[in-house]
Amino acid sequence: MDENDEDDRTRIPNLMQLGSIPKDLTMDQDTETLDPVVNSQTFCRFVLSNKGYLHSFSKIILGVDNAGSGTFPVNIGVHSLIERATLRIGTTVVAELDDFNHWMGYKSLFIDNQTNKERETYTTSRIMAHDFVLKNNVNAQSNVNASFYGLNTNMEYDVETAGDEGNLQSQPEIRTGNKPTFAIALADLFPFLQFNQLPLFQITQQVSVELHFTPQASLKRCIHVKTDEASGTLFNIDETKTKFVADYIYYSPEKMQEQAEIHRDSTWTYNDYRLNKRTFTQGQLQDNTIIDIGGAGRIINKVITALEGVRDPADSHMLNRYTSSAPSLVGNNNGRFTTNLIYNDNRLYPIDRTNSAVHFYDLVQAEQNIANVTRQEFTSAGTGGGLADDYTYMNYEPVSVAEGLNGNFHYIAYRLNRNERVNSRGIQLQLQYSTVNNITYTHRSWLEMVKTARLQDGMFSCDLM
Amino acid sequence: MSNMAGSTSYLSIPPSNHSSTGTISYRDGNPVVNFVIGEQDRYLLGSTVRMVGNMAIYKESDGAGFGTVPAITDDLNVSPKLSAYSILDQVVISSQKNKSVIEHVKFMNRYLASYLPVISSKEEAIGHQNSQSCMLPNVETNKLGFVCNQNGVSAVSRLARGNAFCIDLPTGFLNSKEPIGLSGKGWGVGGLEISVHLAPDQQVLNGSWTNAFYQLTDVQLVCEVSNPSIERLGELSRQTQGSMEYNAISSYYTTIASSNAIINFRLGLRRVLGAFINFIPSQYLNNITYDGLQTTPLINDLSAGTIAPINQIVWQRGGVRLPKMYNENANVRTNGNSTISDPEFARSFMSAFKPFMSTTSTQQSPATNNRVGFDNMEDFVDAGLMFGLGVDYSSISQTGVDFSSENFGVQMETGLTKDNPHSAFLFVRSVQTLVFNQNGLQVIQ
Repeated sequence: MDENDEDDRTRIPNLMQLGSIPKDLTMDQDTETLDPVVNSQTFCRFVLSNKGYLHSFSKIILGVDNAGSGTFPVNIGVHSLIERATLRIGTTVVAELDDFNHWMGYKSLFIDNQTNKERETYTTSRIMAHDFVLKNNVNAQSNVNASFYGLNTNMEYDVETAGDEGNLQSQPEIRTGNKPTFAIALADLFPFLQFNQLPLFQITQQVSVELHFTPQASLKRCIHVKTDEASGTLFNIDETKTKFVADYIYYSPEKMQEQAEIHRDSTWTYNDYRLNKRTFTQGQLQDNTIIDIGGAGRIINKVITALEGVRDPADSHMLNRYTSSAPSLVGNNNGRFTTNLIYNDNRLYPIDRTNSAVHFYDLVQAEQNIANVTRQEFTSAGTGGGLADDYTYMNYEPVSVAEGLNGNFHYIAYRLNRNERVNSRGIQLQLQYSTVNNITYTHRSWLEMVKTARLQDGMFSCDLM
Repeated sequence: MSNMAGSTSYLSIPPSNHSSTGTISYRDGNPVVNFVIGEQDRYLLGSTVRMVGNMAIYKESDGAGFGTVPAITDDLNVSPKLSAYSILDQVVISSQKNKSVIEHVKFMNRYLASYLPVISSKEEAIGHQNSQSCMLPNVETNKLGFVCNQNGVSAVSRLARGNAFCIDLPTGFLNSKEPIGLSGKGWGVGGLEISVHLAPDQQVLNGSWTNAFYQLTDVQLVCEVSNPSIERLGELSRQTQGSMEYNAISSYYTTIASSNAIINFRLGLRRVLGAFINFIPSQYLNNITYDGLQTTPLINDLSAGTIAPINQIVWQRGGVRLPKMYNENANVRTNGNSTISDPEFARSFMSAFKPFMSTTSTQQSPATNNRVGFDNMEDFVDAGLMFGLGVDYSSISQTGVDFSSENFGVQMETGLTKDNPHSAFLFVRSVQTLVFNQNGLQVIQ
């Protein structure tokens, strides 16, 4: 983009948009390690310096202080520690994400397996990657044919002498006993920062990031090694390691001054997410149910839903509670999830969606990115040549619904494509599961809402559209 | 239609030739599935078109309209490179209004058997592709999870049979970035008829069950169309003609059975961007004993699995070397014992799909593109051999090379010395222009 390409009509400061950097622009960067101004086992707050542009991929460092070989949940890693994240400018809540840990169960689907294995293992403790298990010598198989697939980490299976069982231990680098720390990107906490960066130097109010931590007693922070360690360990956040590594970007003083003058009064739009949460029983889910999920009078782009099966204790599951349950099987017969979205007196889909592969397709289309999850993980289908049973991870069976990966990634997304404001009736979600297990469920819907932000003479305000 | 500028709508379209039983199979006389996206004042978003349904595989009929699902010990499988994609034999896209053919891709599953593994990684195949097309890039796991899927075998709580799939139809026309006008009033093609010709059971399946077959149920086409605003519709109503460009795929077939193999076609295409060839022993085609969707090197002796080398290759246009002005000699020409695929051949093959340096994920590797002999249909690393030859013309001409009056030719010096003919499938990617008005349309190749 050329330096002279600024478009005053949009009133969007172009240096705030990630990617729109003039090719001949001199840029400088300053990194600051901030300690929280409030820091406890339940909450922390960081206050940022009002200088430069805040790099959206600045990191918050977190870790836990426990012995043992427990790890963070395999799909979301260290994000399990944060239950709610809030970005405040002055007293204005710019962005807030409730049940952020569960939200990351959805967002983590879209990370490439290789990226998880090579990078995220060490930066966030997310390790979801797949490969075929070739070590199984049952049925005298060759060295190239596998009966199932499992997790692909940088470790090898410990295989029993008979060759029909094996276990994959967690990598030492992610075991809590080794006191690792991991980093959470600011843009993951506040998704609008994926596209914009904050001009802190233009803001005269206090900019703060607040994190509400997942309660210890919920056991939703980490998982233990099955059989070798007991459930119920309370994982303490190591408060001495909680830091904010803030990167501030500077341009030439002339450029910064020019930006400040041109954008003395700027408005732009961004997306924020509102959570709707409720509890369901088995019977309710198996009925054809229509629920109100909000959004009345707003512009909603997308709805993302997850159905968490409430299984206790939470720390005795590879994914902890960060799951979304697929309809369960009856014998070898697949279940069926029937759904549609109703708003402005119309249904989103002309015919209710029932085909599980189409649900997956809708998910990919809504996010415009491919989800790296297998058929059995998404919808429990394809049993037989799927997730491993006797080849375990931390002694958990991946093929298990109750402790593994089977049918636990059934996130559903709806892209509202009519470009309309939702009327006063709001959005209704129609859902029916043919069969689900007899436990309690927590259903979450995140509504992607469009907000407008205004920065006027250093004062920030925002409103829902 | 309301004034919904920028809005889109979802469509779910059942086959226009839906059978009374609701099942579709080649074996039962339904080799073609037709979908009609009607003439309307909207744009089709081609990349959103998906054929969806359930696919069950049976080792034999049960006499009641369905069949018996293979047990895990039964010898029956589907190509792990394709799974549900393997049913696509031909895709014909034509105008609903005037029936003119816009694109006709033949040997679609052979095309995809090379295309999909080159542009997607093994991890993508296990994850994303597995959820869409049921693909698992391992012979045994694919069999256990896809072919032997017991879903629907028991009548208790049966909701569907087999495997749910949702596959795209990767033709050039549907994958063009431009939205496709569906109007018949001068700014569109006048609706679309998409005919999917199903592949024969003997080509899709491989194993020892000679009466095995596959069957589709709950088949639909889902897609998304965009709605022009009323203002835009007013402008469009004054438009009497239009055009769009897309990269079409043209398919050709020939056989080779000599040490001096020559492939020669009059393509009749003006803007050719690239071409690739994949091979298979002709005996493997439409023969349930073998996997007809293998993309093998040339083989001299099928029982011993002796690979015949391709020592040299010359790409030609009108008898002149192009794009490379020299004979490409393979590593095996000077070292007959080499089992390593020639790296220049491999690179050219991959470049035929998209520029080599921009290919960031692929299943091509020394383990899947090599000259190691084989003597059965199972013991392959990953999804099997992924051999092919290719050429990229976009590197010498962004607009493509003119083959309208000059023949396309490939000359190969091979080690094919036994009486074992091979089928060569040639796929050519070229820019084509569709010109349309209210009276009809024309494809300019």
